[in-house]
Amino acid sequence: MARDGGTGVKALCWEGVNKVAVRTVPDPRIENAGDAIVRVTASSVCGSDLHLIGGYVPAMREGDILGHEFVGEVVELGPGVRTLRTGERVVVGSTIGCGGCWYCDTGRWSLCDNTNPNAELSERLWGQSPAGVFGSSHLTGGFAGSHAEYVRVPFADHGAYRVPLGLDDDAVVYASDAVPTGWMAAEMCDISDGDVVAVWGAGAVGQLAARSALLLGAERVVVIDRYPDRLAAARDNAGAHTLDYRTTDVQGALRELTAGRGPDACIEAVGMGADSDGLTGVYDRARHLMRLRSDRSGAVREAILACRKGGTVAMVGVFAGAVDGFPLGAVMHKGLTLRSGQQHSQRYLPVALDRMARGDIPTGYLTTHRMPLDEGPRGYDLFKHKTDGCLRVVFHPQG
Amino acid sequence: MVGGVNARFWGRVALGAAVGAVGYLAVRSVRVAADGGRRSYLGAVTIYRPPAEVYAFWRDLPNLGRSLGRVVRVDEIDDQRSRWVVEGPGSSEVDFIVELLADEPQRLLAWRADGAPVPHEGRVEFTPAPGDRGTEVRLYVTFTPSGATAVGPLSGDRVGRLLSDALRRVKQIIEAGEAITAEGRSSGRDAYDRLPAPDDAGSARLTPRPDPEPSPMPWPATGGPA
Repeated sequence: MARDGGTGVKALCWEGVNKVAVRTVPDPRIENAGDAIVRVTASSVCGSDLHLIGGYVPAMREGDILGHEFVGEVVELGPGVRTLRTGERVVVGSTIGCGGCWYCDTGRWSLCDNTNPNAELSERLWGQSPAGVFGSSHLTGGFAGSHAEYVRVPFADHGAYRVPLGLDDDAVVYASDAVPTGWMAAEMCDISDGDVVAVWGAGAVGQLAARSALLLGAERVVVIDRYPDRLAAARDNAGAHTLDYRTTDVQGALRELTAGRGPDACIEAVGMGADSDGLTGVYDRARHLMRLRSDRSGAVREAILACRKGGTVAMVGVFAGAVDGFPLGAVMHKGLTLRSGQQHSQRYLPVALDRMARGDIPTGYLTTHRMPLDEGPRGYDLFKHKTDGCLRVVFHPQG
Repeated sequence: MVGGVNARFWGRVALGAAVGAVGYLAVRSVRVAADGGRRSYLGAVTIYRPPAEVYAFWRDLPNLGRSLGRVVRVDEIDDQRSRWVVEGPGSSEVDFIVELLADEPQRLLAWRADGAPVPHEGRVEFTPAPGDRGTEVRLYVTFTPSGATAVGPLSGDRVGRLLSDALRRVKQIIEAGEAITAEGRSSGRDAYDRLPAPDDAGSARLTPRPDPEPSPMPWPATGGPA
C-alpha cells in the first residue's frame, strides 16, 4: 500500500472479457484543482460491473480499474477544494457532477454537461453525453474505479459526503449508489395512496427500491426474482411480497394481486443481463452471448406488459445500446410513462444517509461477503454466480 | 513559408492557430460547407451563464487564450489587434495577429487573422437562451482560399473536432471553474507487475454463467413479441 513514495497501489483491473486481476498500478494523483485523493476502506461490487466484465458495454479498455461504490478517508486535496479536510471519512457518489451546469443546478447531476472527458464518444452513440462515472466504460469518462487502495475523486466538493457516526463501512458503502438508485426509482413512480409497486430484480438495488417505495407511501410492494435467498431477504428486510418467476406465472399473479388492474408502477432493477423465457428470451440470449450489441431486456418487457393503464415504468437497470422486441405497442396503447436514468448522487446521497442513519433503510445485511482486494477475482466469481448466498461482496483494500 | 514544410508540421501549426485565433465554443454539431475553396465551420453550445458574463470571458483575450490549452499567450496590442502565440511542433512557437472586426458587447465578436498560418475569419454570437438556460453561443469560422495550401493537411473532421474541443473547454471553465482531465488516470495498462502470463498468473478467468434452461412457460404467452 505504498503511496508516499508513489511506488504503486493495488487495484482490481478488467483485463478482457470475463477476466479481472489485481495489479499494482501507478498512484492516483491530483490532476484538477477540485480533486481529492481518497484512501479506500470499503468498495462494493455492483450488478452493472458484470455487464462491464462480460464485455457487453462498449469502450472498456484493458487495464481499467473497476468499482464505483466506496467509502474512505480523504488523504489529499487539490487547491480548489473548499468543503473537505484531510482525515475525514467520506462516502462518494458514483456519478460525478460539476455543480455549475444547468443539469447540476436543477438537480439532475447524473446528466452533468462537464464531467465526461470523452463526451464526444458518447455523443456519437447517444446524441448527448451523460456525467462521468467511476470505474466504468470510457463512454462515461473511463475514470479509475474504487477497487483500489487509493482513488482520485474529481469535483470532490460536490461528490464526497461525510459519513454520519454509527454507520459502518459495510453498511454505508451503499449510500454511494445502490440506495440512491433505489430511492430515485421509487421517486420516479410518483407513488400515491393505495399504489401497488412491482419490482423486477431482488439484487441490492431492487430490494432498496422496494424499501424506498414503501417509505414513499406504497400500499404494497412485490419483488420478482428467481433466487430464493434473495427473495427471502426482500421479504425480511424490505418488507416486500415476493414472486419467484421460475415457479409462478408472474403476469397472472400480479393481475390477481391487483384484481385485474396491474401494478400502478413497475420498477426494473435488472438491466441488460435480464433473463427472459420463451422464444424472445432464447433469441436475446443468443445475440447477447455472441455480443451482437443487443441488450437483453426481458424484465423491461415484463414490466411494460404487467403495468396498469396509465402507469409508470421506472428503469434503473443499466443498458448500453439497443434492444430488440421492445413492446412499444403496449406502451402506446396503455398510455404508459417510461422513466429512467442513472441516479443523481448529489441529490439523493444526503437523503440516503439521513434515512440510513435513522434506521429507515437497513443496508448492512446486503453485505454477505467481505474480503481483501487480493481476493477480487474470487469475489466477482461468487457475485456473478450468486453462489454461497452472495448478495453483495465488499472489498476492503486496506486489508 | 508554406512550401517544403511537411504536412505534419502544418497540421500542428494549423491546429494551434485554429484554436488560438478562432477561439471558441463546444460544438454539438459541426457542419462543413464547401464554398468554392472556402471552408466553413459552425459550432454551437449553450453556456449556463448570462450573455454579459460569457461575452466578458470571451472578450478578455489573454484569459480566453489561457483557457484553450494550446495557446502560449495572447498580447493585446490595442483595442482591435492582438498577437497570439501558439504551440508549434516540438517546443517551437508560432505567432500571428488577430484583428477584431466587430465588437458588440453581449452580442457579437468578429475577427480576421490574415497573417495566421491558417488565414481565416471568425464570428461568435451570443444570444440569451430561452427559459433561463444561459447563453446560446454560435461560432462561425471560414478558412480563406489563400490559405488553401496551409489548410491542406487538415481534414474537415480534425478541424471540427478541434473547434468542438475548444468550445467544450470554454463551457467547462465558465460553468465548472475547470476543465476536467482524463490525463494521468491510473490503470492496469501501466501496471508495475503486469506479467506476460501465458496462463494468467495472478489473474482469474470467470467461468461463464450457465444460461438457465428455457422454462416450460407455466402461463400462456402474454403477447410479448416473439
